[in-house]
Amino acid sequence: MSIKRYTAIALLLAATWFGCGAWAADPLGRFPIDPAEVSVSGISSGAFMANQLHIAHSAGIIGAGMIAGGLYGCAVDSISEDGVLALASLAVGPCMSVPTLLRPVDFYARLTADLAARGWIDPPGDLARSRVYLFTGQADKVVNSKTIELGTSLYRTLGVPAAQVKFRDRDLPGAGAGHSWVTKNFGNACDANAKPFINDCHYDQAEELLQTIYGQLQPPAARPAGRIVVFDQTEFAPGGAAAANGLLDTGSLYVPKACEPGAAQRCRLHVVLHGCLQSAEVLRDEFYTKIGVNEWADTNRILVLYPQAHATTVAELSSQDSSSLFNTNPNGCWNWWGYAGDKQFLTKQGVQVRAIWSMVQRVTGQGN
Amino acid sequence: MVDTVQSANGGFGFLTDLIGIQMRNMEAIRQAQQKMLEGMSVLAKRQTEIIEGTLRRSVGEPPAATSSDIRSVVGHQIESLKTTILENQTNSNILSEMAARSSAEVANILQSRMMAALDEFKTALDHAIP
Repeated sequence: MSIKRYTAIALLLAATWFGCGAWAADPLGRFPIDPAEVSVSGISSGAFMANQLHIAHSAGIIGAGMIAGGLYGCAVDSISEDGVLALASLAVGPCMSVPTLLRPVDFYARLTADLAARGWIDPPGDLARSRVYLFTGQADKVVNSKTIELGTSLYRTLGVPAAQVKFRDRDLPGAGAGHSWVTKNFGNACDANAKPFINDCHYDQAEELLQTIYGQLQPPAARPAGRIVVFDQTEFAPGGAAAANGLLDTGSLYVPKACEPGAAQRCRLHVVLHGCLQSAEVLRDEFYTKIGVNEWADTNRILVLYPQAHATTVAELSSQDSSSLFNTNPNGCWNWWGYAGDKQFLTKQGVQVRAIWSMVQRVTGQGN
Repeated sequence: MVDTVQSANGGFGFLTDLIGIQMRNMEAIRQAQQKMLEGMSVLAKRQTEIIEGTLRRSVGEPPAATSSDIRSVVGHQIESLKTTILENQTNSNILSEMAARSSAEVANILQSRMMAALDEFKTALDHAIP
């Protein structure tokens, strides 16, 4: 057999191995992390999920960054004994494009208090020590700025002191930022509202977000010297059914050299959540290598967890019935309107909140 | 004689099974009606909220004709109209989604009961005709 033929067979085997999804990623590992230094951020649907994680687990998360999204319970219509009724039409309507139909801040504050009284989320009093960064671009055509302004008011209403809340929206160049994670030198034009939803506005959003949460940081690395680890997410989904619950089979982790197991000093953990159409299914590694967070993480002992969502179709749902169409997630967004039949999506019992929190506990060595 | 007794017992058992099936059908219809009523009540509540919200906003609107600048007046009215159109469309979407979800729940209850009833009928028939 010729060398060419051997090579062809090897390539075919490799293509089959990786292409059919048979390749199993490694389990998520434990790292030397201080569990009191966990924070979260996200853009768009990731911002809504970061907000949900923060408010549900306020006792365990010290700060949050919400970019172009994030108003707790925005898509909720009512609350019942087994969870909340949320509507996709509330998400795409009042929450994203018709802000005049948003409810007063008291509604969302009461909802938060009600969920806490049922023990479904941590007491909102724990939020008082949080540091919070919120951002909306003036050229954002996807999620209206009023929603983020109301999200900011909600944090204040829930007891976060004004000095600990940073709301940014007006001072970027030109028309301002479109719907995007904003960077210093990568991505679309600043006012674009298009894939990959990473825009170059000569503004280092990662810097301001992380410094709002962690205080003054060391200057970033010119090039990150750590490693990206792709890990198995299926173990964090109920019954391993990741796809049915809007979770991708694998997530990613950025590990700076200073945070490798055996490091002398413990690191911090920052969870970053992509937006719709930004998961590794769509952008491959672009989101988790180009938004500028790893550069800051490298020099400041921050391990960065990048969980990944999945675009769920009707066929992938755990059961198909007349309600199935309401339960799909065609754009691979994080769950902030109760898809996949999850009535607890914004509480500690929500499938995705629980999955991400279990990842946090694993990485920090707190559980499982 | 034994055959006749067995046949009578089998016939009686079949009748009991049929009554059981019918009772469960009635229970499913009751549940479906309850879901329908709940759905209608939620819809009515939402409609009331929508009307209240519309009234509140229209009362809160500054009068458009106070400005002497005609462009400002017309501009304001156009913006108001655009907002109203968007709000109406959104409210219509919300009500449609609520109605569709409620109908889907009712359909799920009835469909799953119908499937179960067919299985139960087949089993009862198997028992009655050995």
